[in-house]
Amino acid sequence: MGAAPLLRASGVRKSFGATQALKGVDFELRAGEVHALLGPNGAGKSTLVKVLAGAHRPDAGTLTLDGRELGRLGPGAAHAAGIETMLQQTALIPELSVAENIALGRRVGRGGLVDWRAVRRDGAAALAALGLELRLEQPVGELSIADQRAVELARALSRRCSVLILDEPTATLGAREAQVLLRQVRRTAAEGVGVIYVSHHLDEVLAVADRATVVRDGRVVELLELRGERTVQAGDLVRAMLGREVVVAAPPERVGDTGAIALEARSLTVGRRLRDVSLTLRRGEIVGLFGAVGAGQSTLARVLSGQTRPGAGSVAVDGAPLRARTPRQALRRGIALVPEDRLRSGLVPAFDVAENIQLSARALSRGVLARRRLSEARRWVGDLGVQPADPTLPVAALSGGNQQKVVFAKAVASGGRVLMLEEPTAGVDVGAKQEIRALVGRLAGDGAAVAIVSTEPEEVLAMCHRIVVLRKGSVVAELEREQASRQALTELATGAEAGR
Amino acid sequence: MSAVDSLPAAAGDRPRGPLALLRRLGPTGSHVAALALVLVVVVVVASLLSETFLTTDNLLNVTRQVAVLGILAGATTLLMVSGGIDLSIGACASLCGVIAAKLLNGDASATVAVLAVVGIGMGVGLLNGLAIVASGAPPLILTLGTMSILEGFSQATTNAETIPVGNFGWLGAATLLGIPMPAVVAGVVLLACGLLLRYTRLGRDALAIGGNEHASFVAGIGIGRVKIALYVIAGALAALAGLVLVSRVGAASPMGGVGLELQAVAAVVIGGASLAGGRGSVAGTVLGVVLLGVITNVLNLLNVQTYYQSVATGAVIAIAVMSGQAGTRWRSDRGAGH
Repeated sequence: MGAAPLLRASGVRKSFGATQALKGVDFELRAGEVHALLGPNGAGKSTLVKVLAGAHRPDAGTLTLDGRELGRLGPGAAHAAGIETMLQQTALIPELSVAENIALGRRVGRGGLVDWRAVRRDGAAALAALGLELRLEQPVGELSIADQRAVELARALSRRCSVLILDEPTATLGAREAQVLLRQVRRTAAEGVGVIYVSHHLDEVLAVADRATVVRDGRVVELLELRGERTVQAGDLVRAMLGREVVVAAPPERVGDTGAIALEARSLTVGRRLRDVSLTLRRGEIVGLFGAVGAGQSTLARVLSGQTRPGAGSVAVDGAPLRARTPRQALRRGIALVPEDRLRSGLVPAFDVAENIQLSARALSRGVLARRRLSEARRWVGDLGVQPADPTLPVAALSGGNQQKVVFAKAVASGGRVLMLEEPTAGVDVGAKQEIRALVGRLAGDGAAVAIVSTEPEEVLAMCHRIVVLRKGSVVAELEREQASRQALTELATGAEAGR
Repeated sequence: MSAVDSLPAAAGDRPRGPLALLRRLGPTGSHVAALALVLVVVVVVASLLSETFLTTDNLLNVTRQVAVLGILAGATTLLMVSGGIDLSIGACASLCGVIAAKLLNGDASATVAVLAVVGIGMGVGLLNGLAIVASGAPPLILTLGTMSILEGFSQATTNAETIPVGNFGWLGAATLLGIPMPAVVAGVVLLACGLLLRYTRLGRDALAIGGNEHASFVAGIGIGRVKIALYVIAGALAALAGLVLVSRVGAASPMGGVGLELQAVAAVVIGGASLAGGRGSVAGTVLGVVLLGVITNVLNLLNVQTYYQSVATGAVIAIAVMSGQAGTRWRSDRGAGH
């Protein structure tokens, strides 16, 4: 492998407002290697990737490609320099043919006319380089997602890129398709391209990568040779990602009767996003649904809250079957959701705090008039410590943490007895986090069944009595809190167990 | 009518100054205030240009002339705050007027004619609503289709001729306590629309859906039934507008309501509503309707040719919308809006 680095970043810093996402990162990529970029959520991986791809401008630090310093890199300049990015979702145009998609964005032809022979020739060459057997004329939309990813790889190769950034490329693929893609990634690297591979799946990383850079809290904490003499275990990667064991708050005590089953889901399946998942939620119990991004826990929450209909499987609430087609029907049976994306799914920004809190309760109530119960809203605002404590303020004027409390109040005020909380303390300050966690404990103590959907091990460890771990759409483990640790959870969710 | 459906004013610590006032009024309230100011200026200029403008007779005449537009603009406000629109209401008004005329000329009582026609309007609205909710088609285009269908029916029913109607003046030609009946009807309709938006579940749900449809869905609001109800109300109001029009003119034309739907959209947008939904007020709509009516009236009084009237009205719409947009930007730049 060539000694001179192809792409080098040194001392890269990047801040967003008061938060420092990158605190002086050094990173280097060699030609012909697959270099994994690892780290927990919020470690700075995606910021680093965006800096390298020219989407973010670093506050300080330099980037050199082939020994030449890259000046102010914009997306266009990164492209011109030969840096290609492949995102989680395919960026192909489904109506256009394979050949056209490969030629997309390049000028093939002369004077505004398309040189179709050149388009087909280049397309065929790009497919051959990856050993792909696809019809050049076929519209990309008719291909499987795995083949679409392969076409994207071929396109990157045909653009003579020298650096290829892959961000969770297998996120939408099944296990076998992922294997095929990994082989194609190796072939791409064998063509001399430097590949940066971002993934939560450590088994994939061990299978495909030559080296791994581990990022944590905006710094590079470790650079590991994965193909050296000493074999690196998945457990080592997890330890490097997590750092020293931090003390995680203990979850609230189980209070009262936790026997009664509130919700029972059997064999839920949604395409390939959720496969044969069963789940039991009991009154008074807080259950964590933990997994990496896209592992299926959000899909499960959407099914249970009536936003997505399952292809197969059944749900029963309090023993009676529930076939919710809309959130309204789920809410009627007491299943309330605190969605992850509060701006898109949680709030009506033009309404005031009181009206947002009462949105669900009012939707379920009867009568013609919209009764405005200001005193009740005031009680919620006080209970959850919403600041400023004025329910007549427009909700858009509140900080993120306080908006989250409003969404929370809405779910509970609707009379929900089964609460699905998606990342309930994401983007919330420390004080609000404690308040929300205490409130969750109180609600469970009062007999609610609570499910916490999260990608953060700390979150489920701090709140849950029982933790269900999902990976690639299936349940891979179910642990009591006492058996669970950050290491164990992360190993399960990243497939490190399977990689052993 | 005050800004009955604007956001409640923010309490708590209140900074002073004009910016703070804007902040307290909210984006809708401050738009309405600015529009009221514009209207005052236009009235002053009009009264300087024409001696007859500021007479009781003329002003009552203005209210009579804008009444039909006002009713349709009320319906459009309800739809637009929810993110919807109905371009078929003008055609629906003409069709309902034509059918009413036929019924009245065929010895039906006025009560029967009114009830039948309002029922037809609601039926048309129901079909519009069902089609939009079931198919997810964009309402702009779907109701454009309905508009063409209804126009065709009107023409077919009348052989494209105007039908004179006798003995049906009470809704359009009569007065109540000196106020023209059309204006009374429009006033009641607009007041009801304002109250609906402010105090009923339907109205609040409409605003919620326009403000964030996905969040409203997740919150358990029955999006489909709210939308359908709004289109049914719009259909009923279109029928009412058609009746007032026939009664005022004393004849039913198959093209009587053509173009009114777009004037209604213009009035509602001038009044501060957003085509994307979530924002708008009946108070603003009233001012928008009156502004358009006053300008048309003044140009009439000054004997400006109708061609140039059209040019002037168009310019007013364009300028009003552009300055409303600029105002929104100005406020959000200074953190007074959101």
